[in-house]
Amino acid sequence: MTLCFTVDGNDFLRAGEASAVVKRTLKQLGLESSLVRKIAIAMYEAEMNMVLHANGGNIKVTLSDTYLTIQMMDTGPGIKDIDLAMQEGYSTANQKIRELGFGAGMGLPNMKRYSDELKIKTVVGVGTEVLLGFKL
Amino acid sequence: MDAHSVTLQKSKCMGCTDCIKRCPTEAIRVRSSKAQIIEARCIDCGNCIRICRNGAKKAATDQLEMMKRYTHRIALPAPSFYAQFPKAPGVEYILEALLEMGFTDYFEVAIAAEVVTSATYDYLKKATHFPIISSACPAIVRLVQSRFPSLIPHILPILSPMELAARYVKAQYAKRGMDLKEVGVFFISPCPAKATEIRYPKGIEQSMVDGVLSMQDLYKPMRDLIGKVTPKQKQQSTYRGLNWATPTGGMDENQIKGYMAVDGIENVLSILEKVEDGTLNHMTFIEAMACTGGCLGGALAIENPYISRSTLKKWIQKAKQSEKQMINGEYLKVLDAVSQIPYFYETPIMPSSVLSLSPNRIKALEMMERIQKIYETLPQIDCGCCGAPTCHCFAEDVVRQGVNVEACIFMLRRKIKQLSDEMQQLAYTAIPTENNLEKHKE
Ligand SMILES: Nc1ncnc2c1ncn2[C@@H]1O[C@H](COP(=O)(O)OP(=O)(O)OP(=O)(O)O)[C@@H](O)[C@H]1O
Ligand code: SF4
Ligand SMILES: [Mg+2]
Repeated sequence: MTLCFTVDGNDFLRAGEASAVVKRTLKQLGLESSLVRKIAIAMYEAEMNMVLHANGGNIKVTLSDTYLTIQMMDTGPGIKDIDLAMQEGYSTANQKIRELGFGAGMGLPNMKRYSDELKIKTVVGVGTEVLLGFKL
Repeated sequence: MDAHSVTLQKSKCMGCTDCIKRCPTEAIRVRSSKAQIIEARCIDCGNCIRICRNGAKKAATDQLEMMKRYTHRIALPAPSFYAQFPKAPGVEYILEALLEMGFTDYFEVAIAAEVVTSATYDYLKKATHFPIISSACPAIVRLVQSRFPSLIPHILPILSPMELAARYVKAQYAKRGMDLKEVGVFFISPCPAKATEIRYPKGIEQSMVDGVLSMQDLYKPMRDLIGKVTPKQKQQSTYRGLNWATPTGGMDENQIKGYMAVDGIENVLSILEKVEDGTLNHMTFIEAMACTGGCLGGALAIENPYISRSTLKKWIQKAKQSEKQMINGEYLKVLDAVSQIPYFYETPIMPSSVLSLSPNRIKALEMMERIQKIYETLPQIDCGCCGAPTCHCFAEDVVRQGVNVEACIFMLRRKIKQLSDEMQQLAYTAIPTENNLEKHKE
């Protein structure tokens, strides 16, 4: 099964909606609750990154009985140094974003920690594609 | 006895869609023009009781007559009950009126609440799953069990003040050598959730509360009596215990770093979503109440919650003023005795997997795909005419329960159009013994 979402980069109120739908779907699938939570945390972080750093984008979720893939595509600024971005505490978030409670630099590390697969393809000035994979 | 304390009086139900829309767990459907409550999904929040304009939803609390079964009848009044009587000269008048009403004794739940508060402070020091979610509102615990099972380890594993109060009372009577069969403990409740709680308690095997009486049933006789009685005893509850009925609960925000109080079931839902997403990990404690305004806004409360809030403030103010006289040896003895009662949960809280489509994952996935397909054909305007709260929920009902997809009036209209097109086509079908229709007319 596939689910597609468009994430609006200007709408903070609706940010996280895609994650909420996916979370509900996984609960309906009867997945173990701790696994649902891991996926929820990782996907939420990725969705928020798309909103906060890349002005929105598209999400494609592919679900089978054994594996879940979440593909996030944006046409934002791209990430200059992925290794640096992956470090805990690294963030380029500005003051405005920090006031909203983001910018701890924990998003990517958490995505890595809670997923079974994390692939990032990024080209500066073109965009970023993040792929999260989970064994179900 | 039903697993729930919200019941439907069929004859009063007009089959409107007010309640299905307002149910936070999508637990109500209208079928054959009558509302139906899906037991497994109901968390007894009482929203539908408040919303029904025909009074068709009722809280199944115990009848006052139940008191007659016991020689010793002990009332457990909560601070939310004191807040229903703005004209009472003082809390002690309310307590005295309870005795006049036929109770042989009472014990103020606020005293147990004070003990629960300090037990909570202690627990927070050694807890591991933050934020801890308060367990005082049974509707919230049910919500976590059914919607947020991954948050079960976050639930505060401490008895509610009601239960602790009941345990204390039973222990006292047992100590005095009374036959507990003769002792009836009655909680005076602002909500149906508490009635379910004593029948199906969480965290313990059996509740020590014998009956749950609705505030509404006691209100009128109490109001009349309050004006006539002369109190023989002082109130024992302090302002700390009374604070429990405020929407921020009994905890002192200044004592806990990362404290949040959230009331109203919709607000609680969105906060719990955030806890699940890991964005509130920095919080320590969340006081979550199903009703707007906390227990003062309970479905069985009489006064408007804003009025009762100001009444409660008055009682809190009064208690603060006489704090010095209240903290006497007698009071401290009681407080100490209550804290001796075991207050931790004794049994685990279990998840209830109401959302799961099927225990078989492949089957669940296949059902999900069918749901999605059906959903895409629906108008997605959530009109409610089908009896389900949303188009998505309706698609789920079609796949899960075999509901006819033409129960959606838009789908029905589409089907009628399709049939009438077919009929029109048929009407033009050439019949071998007839040249054509036009000719026949001439
Ligand atoms: N989709 C993206 N497009 C462009 N830059 C990104 C994207 N995702 C992450 N980044 C960059 O990587 C950095 C680290 O991301 P990470 O999610 O770990 O932290 P953060 O978003 O800054 O803070 P937090 O996630 O803790 O709120 C970001 O500050 C940003 O510079
Ligand atoms: S907030 Fe209070 S009155 Fe409302 S359901 Fe919870 S316990 Fe009952
Ligand atoms: Mg981030």
